[in-house]
Parts: sequence; structure tokens; C-alpha cells
Amino acid sequence: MYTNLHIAVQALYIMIALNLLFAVLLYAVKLRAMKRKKQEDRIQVKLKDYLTYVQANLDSAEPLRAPPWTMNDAEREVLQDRLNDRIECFAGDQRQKLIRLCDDLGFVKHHLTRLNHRSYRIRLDAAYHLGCMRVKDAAPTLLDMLEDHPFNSALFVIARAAAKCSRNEQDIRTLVRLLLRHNRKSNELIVSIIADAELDTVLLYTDFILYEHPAYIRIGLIGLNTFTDPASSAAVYRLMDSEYADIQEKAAEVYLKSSRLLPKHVVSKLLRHSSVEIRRLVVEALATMKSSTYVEMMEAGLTDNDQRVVYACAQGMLRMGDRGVTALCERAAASQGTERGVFLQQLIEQELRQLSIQLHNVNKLTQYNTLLYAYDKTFHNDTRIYRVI
Amino acid sequence: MWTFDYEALIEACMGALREFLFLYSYTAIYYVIGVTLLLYLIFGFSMRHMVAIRRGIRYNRNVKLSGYTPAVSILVPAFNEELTIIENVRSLLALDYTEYEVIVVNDGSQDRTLQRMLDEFQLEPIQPVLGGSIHTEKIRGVYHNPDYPNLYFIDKENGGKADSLNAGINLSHYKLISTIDADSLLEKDALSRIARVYMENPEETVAVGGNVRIVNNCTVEDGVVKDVRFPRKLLPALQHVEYLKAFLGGRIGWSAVNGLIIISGAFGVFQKDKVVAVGGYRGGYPGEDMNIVIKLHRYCLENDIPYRVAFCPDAVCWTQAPDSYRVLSTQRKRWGRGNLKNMIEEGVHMVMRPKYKIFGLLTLPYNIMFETLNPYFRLGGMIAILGYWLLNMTEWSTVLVFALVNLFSCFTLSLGALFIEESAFGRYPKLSDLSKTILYSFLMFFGYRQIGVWWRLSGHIQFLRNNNSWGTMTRTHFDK
Repeated sequence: MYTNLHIAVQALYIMIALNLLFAVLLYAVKLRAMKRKKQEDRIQVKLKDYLTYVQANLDSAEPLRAPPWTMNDAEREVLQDRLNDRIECFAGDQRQKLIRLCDDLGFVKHHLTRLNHRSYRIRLDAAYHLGCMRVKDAAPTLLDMLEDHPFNSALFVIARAAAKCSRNEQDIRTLVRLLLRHNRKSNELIVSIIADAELDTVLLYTDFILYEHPAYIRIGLIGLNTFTDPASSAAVYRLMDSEYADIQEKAAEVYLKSSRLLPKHVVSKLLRHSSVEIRRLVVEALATMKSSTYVEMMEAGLTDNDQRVVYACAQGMLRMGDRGVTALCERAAASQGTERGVFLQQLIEQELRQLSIQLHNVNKLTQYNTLLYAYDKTFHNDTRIYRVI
Repeated sequence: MWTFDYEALIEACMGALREFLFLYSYTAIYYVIGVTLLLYLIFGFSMRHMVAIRRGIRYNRNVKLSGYTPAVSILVPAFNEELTIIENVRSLLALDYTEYEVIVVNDGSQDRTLQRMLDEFQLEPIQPVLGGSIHTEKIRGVYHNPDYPNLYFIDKENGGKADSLNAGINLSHYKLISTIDADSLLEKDALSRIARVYMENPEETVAVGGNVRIVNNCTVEDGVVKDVRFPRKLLPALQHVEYLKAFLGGRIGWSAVNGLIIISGAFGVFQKDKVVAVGGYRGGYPGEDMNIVIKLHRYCLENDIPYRVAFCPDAVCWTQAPDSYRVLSTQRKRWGRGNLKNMIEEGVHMVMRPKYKIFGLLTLPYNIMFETLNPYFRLGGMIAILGYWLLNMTEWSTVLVFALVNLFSCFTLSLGALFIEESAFGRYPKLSDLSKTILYSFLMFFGYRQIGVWWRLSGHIQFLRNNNSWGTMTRTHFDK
């Protein structure tokens, strides 16, 4: 009779077999990894002199020569990895020399062949290496790979390779289109991928912000944020009224970063903006400029509903010289007895405390004297005070 | 004359008991088969996802994301952490990440945590500007030193870990928050690795968990784990294999189906606005790390917000495992209480309701049946075996066969988790480390798991007695 016990015994045999199989597999994986590590270390020692030669001759006029021995597959693989690392570390002529060396060593041809392999694993590996070596010829195939690729981490590996291999702006546009199809708002990652392209991308980003599609606008704004181009300030100005809050914020950030002079009417408009983040950004931008022209506007910012904006305003005014600190102290004194007044006074006292321990620095000493004078004049107006000049 | 037939009554009772035990044996078998199949299913997802993880590690080695990574506020709740806090903060200040701040929250420590922080980093009181408004215990002071521009220190009245995290959220300046335990060390690139996972799908990724590994017996220099070694002591060694199984065999799979129920309090990254939207961390009870993840699932599913709770196994946080029975039992009882509380407070409202998708239909039933109620099934099983033996219903060989089937089916999963570790990460370099891990994976079935059941049950009893204390965690310096 076939009983549950028989089933259990059979299950036990299967389980024991499975366990043994896993254990053997585990040791096999471990031993393989250890062997590989050992081999890599050995090859590393063997390649040490050659890599020193490569490093030492990166700036010379002559092209880099291949190692003076015939390499086996393992050695080629390790050398390829080391060269990839160096290609990523260098730019300009040095990078080009390393890429040329890879070409001379046959790495480019090898991986171009693998790029059309039936196995996805091999195609992906080839894509990565071709990207590292900036092989322009691989760009069309890499973009083709992205056409019907599902959304996962490997998508971005191929996309990065495609960006590195891109021949022109059109390739980047195609790349962006293919990535945006997935509609995942990975805009920062896309911009970081575009940054790997060996192209001037300012014009591309400036063009993107003129698109209707908000995703392109976002990418354009994130991209422009890394440049301080006064020309882009005019282009992003209209986006501060966008229907999307995040676009408004990004546009304000780019605008404030790229403008050398902030018109008062724009500042005033931004200080009234509904977004706390934009109000804080504009106050911080004014503080960076340290121009006393904006003191009145900063004063207006002290009445903001959000404490972070008030804090940024106060911090900015403390760095706006005589006019800034006097205005801040007066405003703090005027609102004495209120929560805001206490907050401002504590901020001033905190600044005084911090400056008082840095008096060995002349700039700090001057700031301290200015602030202390303004503070005493406003808060202790019944006592005799002296100004040290 | 009517006489009471005791023998007949006893016989009837025994018959009923036999019948009950017979039915129970079937229930138990189906329970074990159910849990094993589900574990295998999740493990299958983990294995499937492992390929993508390996590729991610290999092909993102040289990727530079700096300049585009999201800014992160790292929150470090600290209670009596004078021995580890400085090393921990130093390691956090040296992270390989573009824009972040470290907010250490002293939760009314009774040791010298406050003084050590003030002395070491020359912190001065500042006027805090709070961005959030989650209610917390009274803040005694906020400290800062412009020489460490991205370090803030909050000193507050004792209110528990959740309360400290909420205080940190209120002060935080960035849109992402990361929670780190004060007895843990983050690897330099851990935050960048999590950021990459987040950046692939930033809108939907509400939380990303990191991998937690045991630091006991490893060499730590300047807050960095230099030499990875297998734990020397028994309890940390058992916890090491337990963590490997839970994180690599389980969490990878659960995250692949968006059913992850917990992000370890030791290391995780969250969207701040979502955490604030669910009311912040739930105070007053342990298990806040599970609670916040359940609340995020619930919030997103109830409001039709597309979301995912991800897991990033290559973002590593090294933590000290308890090496004494007393401390470990306190920790596990606390986990048991936290789990039960979460299931009663949140789980029962979501379980088996299609509205909550995978989380309600798979994660929660699994958690309730095989985690929360697990001690009762196990205890029931042991009593039943005793019953079978007393009533002569089975032979020892039958019990042994079934026990071995159960043991080896679970051991396969341990080996599977080890396979993921070795093929994707290989953090432990020696062959002897692998042998030890296999050995301890096997040994844990003889005593450790049974004690674990007892701890969980004790946790439930503590819950019923309204004991919600955190217990004492003994800290030691990181090995040098």
C-alpha cells in the first residue's frame, strides 16, 4: 500500500539530493571564485609593469604599444577591465590614446562581434565594454537594443553605453526618446547618462526646455542646472509659470543660478511665489550675491509664513554688511515680544556667539564688530556703546 | 441499577482525542507544505532577481552619478550609545555621496552620549528651524558646528526610537530620509548604491531597504570595515546565517513582487513626504520599522498611488549582533511583540482584501500564518507528537522521517541563500568561512530555532501583559 510515509520518504530522498547538489554547487562556485581571484592577482602582477608603462606614456606623442607577449583570454579580460577603469578616469587625449590601444589590442572588434550574439547576457556584456571604449560604430546597434528592451536596471546599462558611443546630438535625442517611453520619471538618471556623452549638451538641453512634453522640459532643466550660462536664464524664465510645481522649482533654480543680475520685479515676484522652496531659493541666491541692493526685499522675506524662509533671509542679511545687519536688528527689535521677534533675536545672538570664537580671523572680527554694534544700538539703546573701527 | 462506566467514557475521550490528533496531523502537514512552498516561491523570485543584481554590481562599477543623486538626510537615533556613536558618526561623515546631512538624535540617553558628541565635534547650540510638525517629546536643544556643516545633533527627552526618528524628520532639510542605527556602520558607497536604485524610478520608489550584515569579529578602522571575518562566537554566527537567509533568500524575492513588509531599522531610505503623510513613525511600541512599511503600502494602495518598496542587497550596513543570550532574547521578544502589535493594528485590516493586492493577498497572510502564529503551530506540533507517542499512534521512525523532510527542505533554502551570497557578493573570502556558514546553517535547526519560537511566544505574553519596554542592548566598541 502506498502511504503518506512512502511519499515522505521519497520527499526526503529528493531533499537530501537537492541539498547535496546545492552544497556541491556552492563549493564549486566558491572554488571557482577563489581560483579566479588567484588568477586575477597573478595576472595583475604580470601586467603591473605594462600598466605602469601605459600610465607613464599617456602624455607622450607615440601611440601606446600592445604588451610584448601573446595574451590568453583571461589576461585579455583582466587587461580590458583595467583599461576600462583608466578610460573612465581620464578625458581628452589620454582617454583617446587608451581607446586606440583597446582598438589595437582587438578588443573593439571582439566586442562588436559579441554585440550581435544570440545570448542576451553576452550582448549586454559587449554593450558595456563598447560603451567604456566609446566605440561610435556600436551606437546604432545599442539604440536598437533599447527599442524593445523591458524596464529594468540593464536598460540603463545599455543606455549609458549608447550615450558614451553616441556620434551626434541626434543619437542622444533618440536615446532620450527611448528612455522616456517607459514613463518612469528617471530624469536625473537620464541626465547623468547624457553627461557621459562626449558632446556639448548645453544646446540640447536649451532645446529640450522648448518642448511641450514636460518630461523633456524636466530633463532640460536638470541638465542646465549644472551649467551657469546667462543665456539660459532668459529661456527658463517663462517656465517659472509652468503648470507643474516641480518644473517651476527647477526653472527658478536654473534662473537664479545662471543670472548675474536679478531684476527687482522678478525677485519680488518670486518672493511672493506659493512654493516655499522657490522663496527659499531666491533668498539664498540674494544672500550669495551679498549685495545690499536687495536688503529691503530680504526684509520683506522676514515676514514670510515659513520659518525656513525667514531663517534663510536672516542668514543672508547677516552677510550683507552694515545695511543688512542693521536692518535685521531693527526688524528683530520691532517684532520683540512675538515668536518671530524672539526667533530673530536668538539667531543674532547665536551668530554673535559663533563669531566671538573666531576673532583671530580679521573678516570675522569685522563682522562681529558690525553685528555687535548694530545689536547693542538696537536692543540696548539706553547704554553707551563704542564702535571699534 | 445505573452505574457510571468510567472505562467507556475514557475510551470515548481517547477516541475523540485520537480523531483530533489525526485531523491535526493533516492540518500540520498542509501547514508545513504551505509554508515551505511559499518560501520556495519567494526564494525562486530571489534567484530570478539575483541575475539582475549581479549585472548591476558588475556594470555600474564605474558609474558616476555625483551631481545628480538626490540629497539625503540621514537620521541616527541614539540611546545610550556612548561606545559606538563617535565611530558611527565619523563613518557617516566620510560617506562617498554628494549631498547629505547627518542628524543624530539623542533620545534622553543616561550615559555620556550627549557629552561625547559635544566634545568630539565641538558642537554649539543653535536656533533650530523645523520643517516638519510631527509631534515628539520635548527637544532640549539642537547643536551644530559650522566646521561640520552636514552634522546636526538633537538632544531630546526620552521617547523611544520612533519618536527620535520623528524629531529627526522635523529637522531634516532634504526630500529623502535614511534611518541608520547608532551601533551600525554604513559602507562608503552604500548610499550611492541605494540612490541608483531610487533614481531608476524615483516617483514610485517610496522606500528602499539596505542589506544588514554582522560586524562581530570583523576589523573596523576609522569607521570602515576592513577585514571581513566570520563571527567567532556562537550566537553572532547563528545570527549571521539567519540574516543571510532572511535578507538574500527572502527580501530580494519579496521586493521583486513588491511585497516587502519590513525595511530593517538598521538601514533604509524613505521618501520623506510619504512618511509624513502616514503620520511619521508610530511611537510607544517596538516594531516601528515594520509599521512604517505597512503604513506606506496601505497609504499608496488606498490612494491609488503607483509605488514600490525596493531592496538593494549590495548597499551594506554592518551591525553589531547581540552576543549574549540575555540581550538576544530581549531583542527577539521585542521583535515578537512588534510583529504581533503590527498585525493587530494594521495587518488584520488589510489581510485577504484584494484592494491591497500582493501585500494583502500574499505578504500579510504569510506573515500572520507563518510568522505571527508560527510559535503556536510549532508548540501545537510538539504537543501533538507527544500525544501520538503516548497514544501509540505512530512510530518514532515516522516522526523522524517527517522531521527530516522538514529539516532538509528548510536547509535547502539556507543553502540557496548562501548560493546567492557566493555567486553575487562573495563577501567572505575564505573557504573555511563557507564551511562554517554551512555548518551553522545546519546547527541552527537544533536548538536555536526552537529557542526562537520560545522568544517569540514570550514576546506575545509580554504584549498581553502590556510590557512595551525596549530592553537593554549592550554595546561594545567596534573591533580594531
